[in-house]
Amino acid sequence: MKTVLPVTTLIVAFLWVGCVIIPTAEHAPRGRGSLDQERLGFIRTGATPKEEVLLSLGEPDMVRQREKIFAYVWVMVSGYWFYFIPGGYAPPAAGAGTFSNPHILLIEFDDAHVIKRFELKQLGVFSLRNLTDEIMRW
Amino acid sequence: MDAARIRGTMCSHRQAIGTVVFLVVAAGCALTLDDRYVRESFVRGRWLQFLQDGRTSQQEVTASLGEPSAYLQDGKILAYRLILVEEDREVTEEEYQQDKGSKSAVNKRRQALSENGRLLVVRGTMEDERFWLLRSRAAEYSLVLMFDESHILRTHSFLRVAP
Repeated sequence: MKTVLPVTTLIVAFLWVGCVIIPTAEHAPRGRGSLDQERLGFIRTGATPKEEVLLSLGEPDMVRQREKIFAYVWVMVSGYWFYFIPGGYAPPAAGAGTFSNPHILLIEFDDAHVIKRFELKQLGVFSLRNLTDEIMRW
Repeated sequence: MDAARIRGTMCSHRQAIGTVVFLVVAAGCALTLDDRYVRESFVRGRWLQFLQDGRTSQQEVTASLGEPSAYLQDGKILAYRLILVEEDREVTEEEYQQDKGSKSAVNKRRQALSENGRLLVVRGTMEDERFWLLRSRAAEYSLVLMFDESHILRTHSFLRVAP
């Protein structure tokens, strides 16, 4: 009986193919630091000039339509994943990573270089590769 | 009596080893990234002191920093995306990985960069190099400079963008 339990545990552990997902609150920005509401409080449609945007937020990550549209991008971590695949015919494997939520701030300026409209977008965890498309579509 | 004393000594040895292991682990967890050398105020004072609103000319800026990452509003605004890199040599991928895993190594590199580093302009035209450089960065900054009609610096901002 003394040996049955450890052996069983060992067998279960080796046969187990696992994936653990730990969701968390959004944190730890990668790339550009998070542009939260506090940092964007100065933005007013029809009032804020392009110069103020540049001085407050820095160089945009993407510029479109002859400087009419600016895009600022940052990525927040919203969870972690881990997996383990025990060895069989193939060697065992394990890995870990993060779930990343891209955020985009899109700003359009009028001919007088004043903000015409803006939008803050949060994209899904698997949309990191579609960022450019998302910006181009806006 | 001897056996009891030996057991006692072994116990105190185990406790001592346990304490040392705990302290080492706790010290590792407690270590934080030192931001002193990558803060805007430090970098500005170390490498950008020549920037004076109402005095510095556009020519002086490009002579010191090189071509900007972007020209905006018909060249009246210059935008620089800057990273801190080693003065004399390139950082290898191995070193970067080490930086990634160890806070102590990152802190050491930041201190070394504060003494022997330089600001490098990241430009959109050097695509492959840009990617590599961004991965090896110590910190990334955005410098936006606005000039008047006489090409004299009117106002500017310097922000730490990442990481």
